[in-house]
This record gives sequence, C-alpha cells and structure tokens, in this order.
Amino acid sequence: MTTSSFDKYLMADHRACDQQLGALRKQAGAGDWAAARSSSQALQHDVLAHFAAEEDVLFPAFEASTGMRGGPTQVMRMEHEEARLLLEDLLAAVFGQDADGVRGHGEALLILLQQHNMKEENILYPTALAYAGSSAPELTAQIIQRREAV
Amino acid sequence: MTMVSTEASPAPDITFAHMLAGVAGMIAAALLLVWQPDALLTRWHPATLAAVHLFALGGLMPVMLGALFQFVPVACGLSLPRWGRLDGWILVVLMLGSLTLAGSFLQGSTLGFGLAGVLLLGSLLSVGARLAWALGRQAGPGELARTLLRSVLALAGTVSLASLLLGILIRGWQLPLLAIVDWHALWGIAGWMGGLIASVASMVVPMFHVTDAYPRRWFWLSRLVLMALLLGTFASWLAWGWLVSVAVCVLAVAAVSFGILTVRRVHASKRGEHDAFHWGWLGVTVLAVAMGGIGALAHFSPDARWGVAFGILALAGLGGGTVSVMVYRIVPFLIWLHWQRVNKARIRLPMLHQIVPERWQGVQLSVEGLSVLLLCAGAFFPALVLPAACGMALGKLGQWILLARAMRDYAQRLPVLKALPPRVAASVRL
Repeated sequence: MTTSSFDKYLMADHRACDQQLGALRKQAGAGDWAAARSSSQALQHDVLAHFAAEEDVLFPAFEASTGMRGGPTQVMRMEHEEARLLLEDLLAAVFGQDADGVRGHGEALLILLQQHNMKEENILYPTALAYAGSSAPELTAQIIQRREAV
Repeated sequence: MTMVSTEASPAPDITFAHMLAGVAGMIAAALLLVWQPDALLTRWHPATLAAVHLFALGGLMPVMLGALFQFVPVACGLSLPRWGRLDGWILVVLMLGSLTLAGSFLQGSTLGFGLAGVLLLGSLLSVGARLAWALGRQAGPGELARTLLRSVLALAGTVSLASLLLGILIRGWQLPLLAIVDWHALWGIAGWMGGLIASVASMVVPMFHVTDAYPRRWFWLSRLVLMALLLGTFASWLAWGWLVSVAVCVLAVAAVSFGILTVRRVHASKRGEHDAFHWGWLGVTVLAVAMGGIGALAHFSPDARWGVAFGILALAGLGGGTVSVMVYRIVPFLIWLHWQRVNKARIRLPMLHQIVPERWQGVQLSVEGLSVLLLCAGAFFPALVLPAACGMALGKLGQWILLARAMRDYAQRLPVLKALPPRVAASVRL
C-alpha cells in the first residue's frame, strides 16, 4: 500500500480491515470454515500490525509533539486492548465453527472498531498531521515500515 | 484538544431513559389516531395536530437526543457538558411539554399553549444550546460537526417559527399563518430531523455497512438545505410563489439524492450480513426517496391529501423508521460494551443479536413499516387509518417491550459481572 501521508494510509488500512471482516463473516455464514479460518488469521495479523504501527510510532510522535501523554493516546490504547480481546473471541468462534459466535463477535468488533476509527480519523490523525508539520513524510515512512514489518 | 472515548460519554442509563420515553411518546401518538381515526381527513384536525406534535416532540425528539448524547462524543471527539440529574429533569419537562401541547390542540386551550410553550422552549433551547456549544468547539476540521451544527441551527429555526405560531394562537398576532405553519414543519422535517439523519448517515452508513464514502457533491448539496429553508420561508412570507417552488424543489432533490446515494451504498454493503439492520436501512432510504417525491407533489398539486401523506412519510416513515433501526444497534451495543468493560472474568456474554432478539427486531420493523404504508394510504382511503394506527401502536409497544427487557437484563447482569473474580489471560500482541 502506498500513499501520500500517514492519515490516508491508515484510513485506507481501516477500510481494508473492515472489508476483511466482512468477507470473513460471509464465509462463516456460508459454512466455508477453511476460508473463514484463513481470513480470520489474516484479519488478526492486519489489525494487530495496524495497532502496532500506531502504538509504536504514531502515538509516541503525537505525545512528543503535543505534550499530551495521558489523554487521546491513552484512550486509543485502551480501545485497542478491547479490540484485541474481541479478536481472540472471534478467532475462537471461527476455529470452533460457531456461526452464531462469529456473527455476534464479528458485529461487536465492527462497531467497536468503527467508533474507534471515527475518533482517530476525525480528531487524532488530523491533529497529529498538523503537529508533524515538515516531518510528516518521515513519520509516514516509519508508520508504513512498522505496519508492513511482519 | 479533548478526545474522549465512549467511557466519557453520558452513562447509558440516561440514553435508555430517553429512548423508552420516546417510544412511549410514539405509542401515545398512534393511540390518538386509534381514538380519532377520522383525524387524517385534514391536516388541520385537532387530533392530527396533537398526534403530529406528540410523535415529533414526545417521540422522535427524546430518542434523537438520547442517541446524540452517545454519538457526538464518539464521532466528533467532543465532551458534552454533563448536567447530572438535570438531564433527567429536562427529559421530564420535554415530555410534559409535548403532552400539554397535544392536550391544548385537542381542547383549544390558549392557557395550555402558553404552558406548553414555556416547557418546550425551556427544554429544547437548553438542549440545543448545549449541543451548539459543544459542536462549536470542535477542534478538528470535521465535516460531521459542521453538518450537525447546521441541524441544531435548523432546530433553532423550527423553534423560532413555533414561537410565532404560539403568538398567533395566544396573542392573536397578525402574521401569515399558513406560510409559518408550512415552513415551521419543513424546518423541523428537512432541517432538523432530515439534516440530523443525513449527517449521521453520511458517517454511519460507510463505516457500519462497510461501503464507499458519500461523494463530495452530496455534502455540497446538503449545505444548500439550510439556505433553501431560509429562502423558502421569506419567499413564502412575501408570497413570492415561484421562489417558494424553487426552495421546495431543492429540498425534494436533497431528500431524493440522499435516498438514492444511501440505498446504493447499503445495497452494495461489504459488511457480510443481511440482517434487520441491513433491510431496515434499505427501507428507510426508500422512504426518503418517496418522501422527496411526494413532498414536491404536495407542493404543486391542489389535492391537500398529498400534504398529509408527505407528513406521515416524513415523521412516521423516515423519522420513526430510522429511529427504530438505529435503536436496535445503539441499545445492544451500549449494553454489551458496558458489560464487556467490567467482564474481567471473561465469561461469555450474550451476543449483540441476542440482547434484543434479532427475529423480533425483524417482526417489529415489518409491522411498523406496513403500518406506515397503510397510514400513508389512509390519507386517501380513510378506512385504512384505524387498522394502520392499531398496527403502529402495537408495533411501537412491541419495540418498547423489547428495549425495556434488554435494559432490565443490563441492570441485572452488570453487578454480577463486577463481582466475578478476574481471569488471568494474556491477550495476543504482535
């Protein structure tokens, strides 16, 4: 994935993860558990890699440039933790071939991620980009490198 | 900059109270039509005016406000000022004002209109000012905060025209009644309710249905709505018919465009589920298209029944339908989220589609949708109004029971989850 700045890159990554989750739910709904298992692992990898790029690169940069250490980024980290737990539940449902569990955990994860993404896309990313100023290209490169590291 | 999570938004209890009160208000409006089914013969029937205001102010308004208390902090990263118990009292005043206004229409009581005016102006202005203050402080360049702010301005326009109408009814002010009534309704329907639905949908539909974003030209068109309302109001006051028609056409095009853009997105959803949420959104967007078309027809046709049909489609159809579809997402998610946050034992919780059973969501939405269509047809075939109103009352009663049961389960399970010992387990990290 290539793009001009980290906000657009991370937003595109959000959309890609949403589509992966949708595909996984379709596969589980159709009883194609082999495909669902593969999709769930890809989804878990991508979501966790996205979180890692934010927690290891973007949030520290945001905290350093704005001086805000206990506010927005703390909330985002807490919500990442909630999503990690839900991902575990979703994967357990997929590997247990529990269609009802996939529906329930999948929908909860979608809503949880969307309300989280809204805050990042509407507030955190634009603010981080504004504070980054001329160092935005360098920050973007570091975020992409971390996101695509594994 | 202040960023908050759903933890910082008001407790779900106050949102739940708004939702239960609102659905009860809609039941009361439907029962009014059961009691007086000939009301829809004319828009000026006292029972019609009572039912419309009961549905809009005592039904849609509390549910929309309850949802905004949760949505604004999440979507805009804004913390609404917390008023503690005052929120509950404002809701009580709003409901009392709605009931008093409905009673005043039925009895023609000028004293009642005055009392209702005080109660409603007090509650609506306090809520509107609170929202406007929070949205005006939006730190980021968010389009959403601007569109929500425009909706709040439209609410101010609706309330201003309502104040003039109260002046006519109580003090006998010599003002153009028909023009003010028409544009008071359009400010409320297209500006406040429609604006709120469209601005929330422009964010919720792409994210929660996993679709493409709305095109930029849609946001450009939505900005014209407030201007069309202003233009239409003054043109109508000055009796400039052609300019009124232009304004009405802009509003109709906006409604139809919103419906088409949304229906195409929901139809192409990549969410992977065709459940009540999916079909419900498809339904309300089709109603938005129909509402725009019938609204234009009502303006140009000499047949006044189109105006009644438009009002039903707008309030009970688009407004009531959107509220119904959204509460089935908001209430289960809030319940699940607040359970999950205290679920340190990591026991399996009921799923979102089990908290309010999905099958019953579908049944309720179907009954409500059919009732709206029958009620709309009732504008032309009066014999249909009674079964339609009975269906609407039963449908909304069913919804109230479904929501109340879910909220009771929430309250019962929460302390149990808090008391359970935590399970020690490391989550997966990359």
